[in-house]
Amino acid sequence: MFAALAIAAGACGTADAQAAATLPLIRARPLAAGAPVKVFFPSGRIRIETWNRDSIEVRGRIPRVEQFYLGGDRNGVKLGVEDHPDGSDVRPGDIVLRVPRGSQLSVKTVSAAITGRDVSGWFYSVSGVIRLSGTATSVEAESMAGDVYLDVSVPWERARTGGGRLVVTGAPADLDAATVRGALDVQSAAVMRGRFASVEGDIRYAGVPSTDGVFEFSNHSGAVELVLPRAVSTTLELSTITGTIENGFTPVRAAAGAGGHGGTLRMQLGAGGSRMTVRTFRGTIRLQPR
Amino acid sequence: MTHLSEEERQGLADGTLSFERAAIASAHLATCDACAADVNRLRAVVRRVSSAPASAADGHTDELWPAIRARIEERKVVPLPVAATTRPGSWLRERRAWMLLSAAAAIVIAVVALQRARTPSPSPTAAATPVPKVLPSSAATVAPASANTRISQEEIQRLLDEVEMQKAMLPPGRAALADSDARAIDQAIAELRDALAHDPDNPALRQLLAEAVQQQGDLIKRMRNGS
Repeated sequence: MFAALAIAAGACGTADAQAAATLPLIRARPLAAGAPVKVFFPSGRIRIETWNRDSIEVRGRIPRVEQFYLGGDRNGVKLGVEDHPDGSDVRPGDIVLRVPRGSQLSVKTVSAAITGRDVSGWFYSVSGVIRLSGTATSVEAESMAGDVYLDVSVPWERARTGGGRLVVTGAPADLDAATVRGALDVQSAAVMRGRFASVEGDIRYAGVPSTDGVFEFSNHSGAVELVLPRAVSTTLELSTITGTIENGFTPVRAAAGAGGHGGTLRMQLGAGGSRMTVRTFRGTIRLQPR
Repeated sequence: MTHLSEEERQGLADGTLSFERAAIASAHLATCDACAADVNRLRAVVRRVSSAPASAADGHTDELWPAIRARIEERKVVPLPVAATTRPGSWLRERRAWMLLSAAAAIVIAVVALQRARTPSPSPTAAATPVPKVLPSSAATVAPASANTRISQEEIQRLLDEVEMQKAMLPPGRAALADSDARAIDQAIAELRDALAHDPDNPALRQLLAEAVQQQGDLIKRMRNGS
């Protein structure tokens, strides 16, 4: 009996090892600059880079049991690993994708981490981490629960996550960033127009609002913290329905709201160039000098 | 059945989809009534736009804006309990009040602009050592245009139903991820609606509710993408 069990265990081990075994992958084909590239890579890790060539190249390792596909022509390609029709998890792979500079990417993963440099387009993961850096024409990054880290110089950037952490650095001109429960951390002096929102996550903005910049912060129960230089020029309009306002800039206190709950504080610092509006329901609003 | 993407439907409607993709998409239309109906709707829109007066294409869109704005306003519903107790004609009074408020806002903006134009620009040293100035709280009553957002109960219910439907379509693991977000947003909306019932004219509350509803719409999009 022990012998039979040992054989069965050995067979299972062999099957698992076979399933986990990966095969090397190298594929390439012509692709016009600016052409769309659609990627579905459920599990593992995908790194995306751009290069000054009119072709796309995929290198990496894919589990032996999974099905890789690459289709299309020089006007657009679609690639990735097939999802399982029965809904079972796809085994993790690891690929590096090189696309012509200016390609418009559409990348979707389930748990796979996405790392991209100098890439533009839409990046989505259910639970994987998204990290983008470099320069881009536009970036849209979304995750259900994964962390999102954006360090991109880009005219337009939109980022969303539910329970994950969202960190924005780099130089986005127009920025629209929101979480549901995760913390939202913005550290950039380049944002011209920004909209920052959360439901329960804390929002922290540390930067130098540009002259004529417009910034809107909204939170339900999370805090909103603005860390600004002492010499900042901005007009602040802070209001909370039942929360508190902590003014670390001046001794001025917020005016209490109706029934003694909440409060509002409107003040101008310096020449008042930019405009920053903060609204919370019960989250604390903190104004801190840097 | 996998439906056509937004890009494919729009591409089919305006004829910008590549030949190969158009062929595949057209084949799908033959078997999918939902996509076919949507593409037909988009085609009708494209036809109407292309047959629109030349003035719109020439960039004189300002002339169109009042009509568009009026249509948007028509679709906004005031769902608050106080609305049920208002007398006939209050809609007109409220509209007049908004017009007066708009006019007042315009005057305030003009006065501020005039004062700014007259005020000499601050010296660099003054800018380096800012003197905080507390603005009168009454000035805060000039709410931004976005504060005028009114969300109908039907719209909120429709979004709640959509969240439930999308959750049901997700695999169990992903549904659990979305569930925590959905609960957090639902709770926020419930609290805001309750607060609005007691303070229906609070523009900050309305704006917060609009933000929460926007979050719900974003969540639905993320759930659709994850299914």
